[in-house]
Amino acid sequence: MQDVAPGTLLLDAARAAGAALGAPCGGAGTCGKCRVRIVQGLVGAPTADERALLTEAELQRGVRLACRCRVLGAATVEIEETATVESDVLGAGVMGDFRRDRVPGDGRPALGVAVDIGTTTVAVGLIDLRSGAELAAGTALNPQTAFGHDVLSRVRYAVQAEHRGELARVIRACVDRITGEACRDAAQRRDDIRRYVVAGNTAMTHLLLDLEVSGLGRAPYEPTAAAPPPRPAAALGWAASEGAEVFCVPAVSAFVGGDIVAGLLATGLPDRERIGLLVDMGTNGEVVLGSRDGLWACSCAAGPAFEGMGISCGMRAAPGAIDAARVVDGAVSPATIGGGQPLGLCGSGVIDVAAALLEAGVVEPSGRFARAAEGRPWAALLRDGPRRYVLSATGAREISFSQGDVRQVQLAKGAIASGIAALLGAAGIDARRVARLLIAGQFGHHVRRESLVALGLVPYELEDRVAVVGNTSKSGAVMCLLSRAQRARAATVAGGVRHVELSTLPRFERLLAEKMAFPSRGQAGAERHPRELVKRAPAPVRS
Amino acid sequence: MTRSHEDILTDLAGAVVEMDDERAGELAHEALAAGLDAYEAIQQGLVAGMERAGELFESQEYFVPELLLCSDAMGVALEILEPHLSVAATAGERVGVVIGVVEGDTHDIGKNLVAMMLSVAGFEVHDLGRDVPIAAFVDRAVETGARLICLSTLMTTTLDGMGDVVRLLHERGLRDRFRVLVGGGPVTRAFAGHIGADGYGVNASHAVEVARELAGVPA
Repeated sequence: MQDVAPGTLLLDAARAAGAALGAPCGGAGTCGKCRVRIVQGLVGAPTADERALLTEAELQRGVRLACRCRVLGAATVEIEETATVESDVLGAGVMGDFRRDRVPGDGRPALGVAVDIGTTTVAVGLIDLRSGAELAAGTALNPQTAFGHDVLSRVRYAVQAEHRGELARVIRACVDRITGEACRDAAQRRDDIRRYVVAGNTAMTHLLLDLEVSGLGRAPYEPTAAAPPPRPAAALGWAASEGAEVFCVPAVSAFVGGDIVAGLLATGLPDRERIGLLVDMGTNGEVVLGSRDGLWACSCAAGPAFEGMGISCGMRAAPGAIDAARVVDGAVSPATIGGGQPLGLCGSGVIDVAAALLEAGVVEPSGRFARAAEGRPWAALLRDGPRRYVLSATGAREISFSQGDVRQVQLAKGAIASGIAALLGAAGIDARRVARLLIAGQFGHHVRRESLVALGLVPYELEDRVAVVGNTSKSGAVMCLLSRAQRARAATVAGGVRHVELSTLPRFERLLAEKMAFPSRGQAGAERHPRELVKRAPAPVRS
Repeated sequence: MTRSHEDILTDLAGAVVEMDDERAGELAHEALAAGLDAYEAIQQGLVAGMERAGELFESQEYFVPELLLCSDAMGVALEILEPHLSVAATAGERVGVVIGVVEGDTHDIGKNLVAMMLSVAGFEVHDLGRDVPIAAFVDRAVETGARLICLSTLMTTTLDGMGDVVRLLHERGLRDRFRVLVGGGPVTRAFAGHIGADGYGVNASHAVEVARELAGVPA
């Protein structure tokens, strides 16, 4: 129940009520994902933007876009609950070797909470500090998504004086709530919590602590505090034992945050003699390269394609989402979470489908849909208006993958592949010297490394050295929870990573364009692009 | 037997569309040897080819890498043809455009594409680069007598700089003298309207269309 003034946008009403309603485009009326259904009541007439994004059938059912629909009188509005597949999606992260601190016996349980604040998903683990065991876990959609899907939309919102503190309030309440739920699940008391450790990207950490964020959104992209000092848990409104503190894993830079530093602790990259690459394929797409002899990092601005956003039939991981695909009898055969009727594609499905389309010859290495379909097994599935490949036509909605979707995948994978190439260049390291490539982030164990190689996201030289490591932000946070030495190590590691700013690298545009193309099939191991883009000097253009 | 001028021009356009810079270079030489006017070869051959590439980009059959390769091919041919342009051919007014990425943002790939397409379309492009101070857009427009100011950004957080440019034009009593065109990832038609811009470009080829409309230049 929420009281709002007549004329209020449903999206604003949802935010005021604390209801989790995703608004990926930040309320601009362009993505169509803030769908709600008017059960009954008085609302404004459908706007032009809604007519462009909703079908007639949907409008008849009362489906509207919350960012455009205004409430005029008492109304009941239903938000579609998409149950997210929780612990499956966030595969438990690997953990590095370290020694737990001894916690003296005092007759009470000693608990700690590891918090991973992702841009999209928040995960907590209630940890027994003496045994290191996880007693309970919980996840939630980051409620800040109502203020914008991506970091920059939220930064923009937060810098406006009238919104100061709102984003902090909302995330603190969320963490407090799921911590409380985890304690109840494990039959434990809040006041036995001795410490919280938070790992999040730099913007998430700043917003949690209510630090000034304007520097994050403008060149030269500087955080207010990369390594903020610990805060009393009480200051964030988090119930805990008296004197309990919140330690935030320090960041490297504005766009390589504590979550990545936690991932470095968890994977042990900074301790190894041999060179490793850590690729976090979450919302922001960070990459770290190095070993104990040096570390380089960049943020690739991959965009949301790998989360199923910006894709015509994209969706979050939930029952009905296509999360895998193979080539069967020459055509693309999708599989869904839960095995039922496809409702859309989630991130790992986008990757698998793109790789399968490439393998089947539906998509050329340039990314263009094949021009000649006659005689091909999939000829009937390649349609026009817009050009797309139909994955499923049973059920109410056709699920397809369009030319535009392929381009989105190219942008995302090109960003990461060029980030990897740029770091190798900055460090003067040949790809073949990299001993392992670790994929971290919210794919858990669903993403197929064969697909990442087929798309060229993973350099072909590293094809046999890819491992999926799960949610290393959280596992690294647990390490910091259990060891003072690891907390100190986090600061040392963060301070030693060299940040490479891709947008200002000379010729970056060319590198990115080159990496957008998919590898050609056939040549065992060799990646051939239709044309080389980087070696040539740019030709003068008439002006 | 020399080929007809028409065939050479068609092939020149084709070489650009097919991203074949070797062929583009060969054909540029062939055009000169056949007595084709350099300006005509550029307009009916190269520019025609780039415009076709722009159409393919619009339909997403071509993407960023293809546009860059097409412009490379065009560049090879231009290098050969430009020295042969007569002064008379190049005289005549070209509409000036000031373009740049707004202050606080360093992402310029989109802007570079637009600048390239505008140049091909015959505009006189003054590219201010990236992280451009708000006043610089206005100052350069006045200095060069440009007719359009094109603003680009990739980040949501620097959008407001676009509104600042429009505001500054008003403050200096210059709003009517220039047309403001905006574009970039987070930019929407609604936002363009909200800040009082004159036009909004969805992508690089659309931007050229809108620029032509705003400048009153025939397609």
